Amino acid sequence: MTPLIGAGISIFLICLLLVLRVPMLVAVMAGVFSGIYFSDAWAISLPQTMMSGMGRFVLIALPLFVLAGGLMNAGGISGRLFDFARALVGSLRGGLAHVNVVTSMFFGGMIGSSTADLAGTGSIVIPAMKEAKYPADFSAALTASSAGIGPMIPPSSPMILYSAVTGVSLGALFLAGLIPGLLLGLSQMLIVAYLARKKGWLPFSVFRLDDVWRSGKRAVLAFGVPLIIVGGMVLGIFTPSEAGAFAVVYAFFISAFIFKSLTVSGLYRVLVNSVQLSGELLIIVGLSFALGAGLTNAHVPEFLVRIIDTVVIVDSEYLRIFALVLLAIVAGMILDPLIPVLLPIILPTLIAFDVDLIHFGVLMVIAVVIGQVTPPMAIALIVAGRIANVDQIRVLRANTPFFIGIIVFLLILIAMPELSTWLPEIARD
Amino acid sequence: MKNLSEKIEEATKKLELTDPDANAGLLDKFINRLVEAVGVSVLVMIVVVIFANAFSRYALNYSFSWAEELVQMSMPWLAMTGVFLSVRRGTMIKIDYFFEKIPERYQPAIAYFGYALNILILLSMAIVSLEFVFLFGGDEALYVGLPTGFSTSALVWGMAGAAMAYFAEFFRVWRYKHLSKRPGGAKK
Repeated sequence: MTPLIGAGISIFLICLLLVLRVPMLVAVMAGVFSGIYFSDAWAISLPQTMMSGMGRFVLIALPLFVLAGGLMNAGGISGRLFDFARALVGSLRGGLAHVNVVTSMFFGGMIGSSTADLAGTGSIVIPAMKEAKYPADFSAALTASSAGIGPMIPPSSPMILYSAVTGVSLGALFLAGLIPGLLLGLSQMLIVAYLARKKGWLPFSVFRLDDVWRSGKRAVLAFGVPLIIVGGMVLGIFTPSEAGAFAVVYAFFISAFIFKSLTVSGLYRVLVNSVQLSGELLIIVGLSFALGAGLTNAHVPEFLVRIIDTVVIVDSEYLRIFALVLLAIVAGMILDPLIPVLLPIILPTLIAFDVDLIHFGVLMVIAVVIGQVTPPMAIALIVAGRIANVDQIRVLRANTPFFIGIIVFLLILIAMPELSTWLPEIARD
Repeated sequence: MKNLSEKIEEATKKLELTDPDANAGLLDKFINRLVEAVGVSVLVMIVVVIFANAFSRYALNYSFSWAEELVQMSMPWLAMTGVFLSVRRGTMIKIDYFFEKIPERYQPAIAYFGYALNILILLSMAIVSLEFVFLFGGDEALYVGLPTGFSTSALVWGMAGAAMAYFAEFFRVWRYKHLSKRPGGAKK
């Protein structure tokens, strides 16, 4: 059996096991073991490869960023962010829908909080939107789609995983995601504005400068976490893990002593959640290195290059990137986390095609976001649909404008890499 | 309006602070708390070491040479305690969509196959890791001075622990099914 066929069997095995509801960790591990079997490799090298994958210094930032976000949530920041968003955009037509989007953009500044945004904020905002006569399926679809802004806006956990696997600077990636993240939020607000005008949705509140000032003052401390992380890294003050540790200390201080809402038992629970949320991801990243090494030895990347060269008949960098992003989108419909599983397979191909890895990092994160609202995984749609008590198919249908929006946005980003590479270049200069 | 933001604050706090073991039995609670304590200690140690190292570098122009190595060596323990807790609480990442489409009468057999496979694969990983620890675990880390086996043994404990957690879960499910067939129904 050729190594390539062995690698194909390993990939097929991973997919099959995932379909049979075997946990991602075990499925990938089984794939790695089968790869070792087919290639006659030394199984004992597996722990070494996993340890070196997990030991990447940038990965240490992951549990720390998650902890900082958890501490801010436990400190009660979500209500303050919502209140500030309401004061800013609640007076627009379809105000509550706009507030939903802007709150998600604010939540983007706190890693690991997309669940809090979706399940926490969504559990209150979706019923409130229904009460305000917004269609239930639209309320769920908007909440699911807007939760996807979070991974784009720094700090972002998919970007940490991408940086760990590719070795690209995390600070540069965070900067690269900033403009696309804000534009994605803006594009969703434009869709809401159009629908609000068409369907006659009313404003949610009245715009008052003193209200903006008052709620802004209450929310401003929340923005300290992304400021420490992104600012510290971009200015070269901190490494990613140091930025994470300082953000944790800041978030602890704010929640415990300024907001006075963090108890000892609350702190313990947040710590446990951070350990639990990070653990599985860290192991999957470790395994992804072993998977990547096995597939590279089996010449899968060269095979992928040949396929893309065959499919993309015109010699165009954009079309090649598009083909790779399409592959990521299709894989993202099933794989979660997408990046550590797919990237080791396509990274050598990206390097062979001389693709800008920072630009592609942002496109990969969009593929992750699309996967969250596309069946069969569609985790964001499922959660939002359950809160709204609406059938998933209806939510999927109501999500069409936002889905078209993000696809158009993705195409624009592929065609205009400057939207993501401009800020990192300025910072580098 | 103010009420809505208060409700949101309450809901997100609840999500963050709810104890997932609130309804668990005494033994389950004890095991989970023990592993939680290890994970939390490692995480707190990582935060303190990184913070102290960065602070000392800026304030005292001095950094601890062992800090980075100690943190890297602790990461597998953090990861393994997290995985163990995820298995115990059923929050491992998996896809339910396709499984739910399978006719109900086939679902138990596939679920049992899943349990058996999880146990087999995780135990295999634990055995491979144990061999690795026996072969290379005695090497000393450069700055910390601890044997590297301190770090790699986390893989052995974590994978074996996760396999045992799946075995316990499998036994619980099987016993429940078995008892439910008896007159009088299942006793949870």
